[in-house]
Amino acid sequence: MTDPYKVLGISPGASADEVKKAYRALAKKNHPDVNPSKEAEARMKEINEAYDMIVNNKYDPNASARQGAYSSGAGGNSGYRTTYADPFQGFGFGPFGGFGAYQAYESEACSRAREYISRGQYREALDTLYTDQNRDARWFYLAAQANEGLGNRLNALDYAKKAAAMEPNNLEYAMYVSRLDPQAAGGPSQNYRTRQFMPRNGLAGLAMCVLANLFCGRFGLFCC
Amino acid sequence: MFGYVRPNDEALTKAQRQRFREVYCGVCHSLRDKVGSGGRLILSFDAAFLALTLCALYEPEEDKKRGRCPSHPLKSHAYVSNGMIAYAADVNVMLSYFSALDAKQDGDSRVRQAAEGRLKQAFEAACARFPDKAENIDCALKDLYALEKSGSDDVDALSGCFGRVVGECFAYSDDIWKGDLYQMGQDLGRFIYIMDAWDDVKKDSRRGRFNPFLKEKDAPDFDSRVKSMLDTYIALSAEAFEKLPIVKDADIIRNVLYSGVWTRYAIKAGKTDGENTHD
Repeated sequence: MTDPYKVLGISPGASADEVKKAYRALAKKNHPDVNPSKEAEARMKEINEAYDMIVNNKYDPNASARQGAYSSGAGGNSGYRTTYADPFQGFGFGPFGGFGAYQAYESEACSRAREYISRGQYREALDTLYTDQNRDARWFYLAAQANEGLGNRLNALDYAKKAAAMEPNNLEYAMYVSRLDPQAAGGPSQNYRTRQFMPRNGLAGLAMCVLANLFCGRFGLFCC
Repeated sequence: MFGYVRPNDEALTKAQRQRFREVYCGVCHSLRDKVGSGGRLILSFDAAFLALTLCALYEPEEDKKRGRCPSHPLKSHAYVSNGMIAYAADVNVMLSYFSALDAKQDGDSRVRQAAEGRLKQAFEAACARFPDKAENIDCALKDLYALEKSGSDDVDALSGCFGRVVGECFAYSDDIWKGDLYQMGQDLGRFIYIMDAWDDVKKDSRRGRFNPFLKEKDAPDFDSRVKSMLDTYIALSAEAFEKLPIVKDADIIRNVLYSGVWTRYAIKAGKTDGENTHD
């Protein structure tokens, strides 16, 4: 695997903004509109892959066998979050160890749902789960994963908490809850909170809203 | 539904304020070209934010112009023009038209219904330019209206439909940025829907209108539970934004995502009593 930092010409400690600036500078030079050569095209593909690897945390300089499975570096950045960003999740990590151990405790609907989830067919997984009247911890865990896949983070957290409440000793469920929890350390919500700043809610803010509605359309900036 | 995605003006530098305004006015001018003088009535901050984000990502050529308009009759102002601005105006037209159709069906808001006639031509032109988008948006809105009619209180299902609408608007083209743009829009759309529902719950309750929070609105922890939902989705939208290689105007976009979107919430949650007016 090529070192994406070398491809972009930056150090591994580069800030996010530095990564973006480096990408843009290289893209300007190698964009097909600017440089229509075959070399530039191949280089652009390499640059896009390098950017994708850094921004999506796919690069591990100490790459091992398990790494190969999900850092294919295919040019496109799908951006769609999947439930399997963490290689251990869904692979039976927990007190029983092997994935096979769960199958004895799983209803048929849950088995089919798990298959759908592994293929990214989250709507089908949910539809299957809803045919099952027996709502055990495993059911809630899979329903949480299917919801997460559909972007339904509120339902996902709700269901994950139910699964964890039904099996409090299940480490896999507990870890899943803590990953989904907006209070989770290092998660998107925590990153967001470090940069968030509330607008002032005093009369100034209200006055701006009222004035803004009088000019430039419904929600306009006022003249000055 | 629109107007939550706005900058925190106070926290912008003068240059940033000018930049946002020239994009905002650019969308306005484009709307006037498409719809006529009524175009400025449907202009939203949201469309300007979309235009700014796309211009920041793709950095297209910008045609800088100066002009006057009825809202700024004394002093000429700068505004920009390019394909992304025109696209954002088209999006603005599509969403306003769908909203007018919805108002017509609900039998309310004569102003919105009146707008339908003038908008229709511009709407059809926009759909001809972006037929797949128009269809996906229409589909998502139909799903949303069906859920609302059924009285659903599944916030994720409801907000997810509006998320699809905004995601579709942000995913400008079928390229390597489509995924992250769509995700940014989708989670922003969810945030908007939830914020709008929270903002309108008392009014909807009085008027017997649908709102997913009707049952919960009097719970003592209602505001903080909704805040948690809003936090979840805006954080995910911001996360998707931070993956895009945007450098130009990134600070203005961050001002909106990390602060401006909370403007209404800060005002309303800061009040202890009294009527809140909105719309």
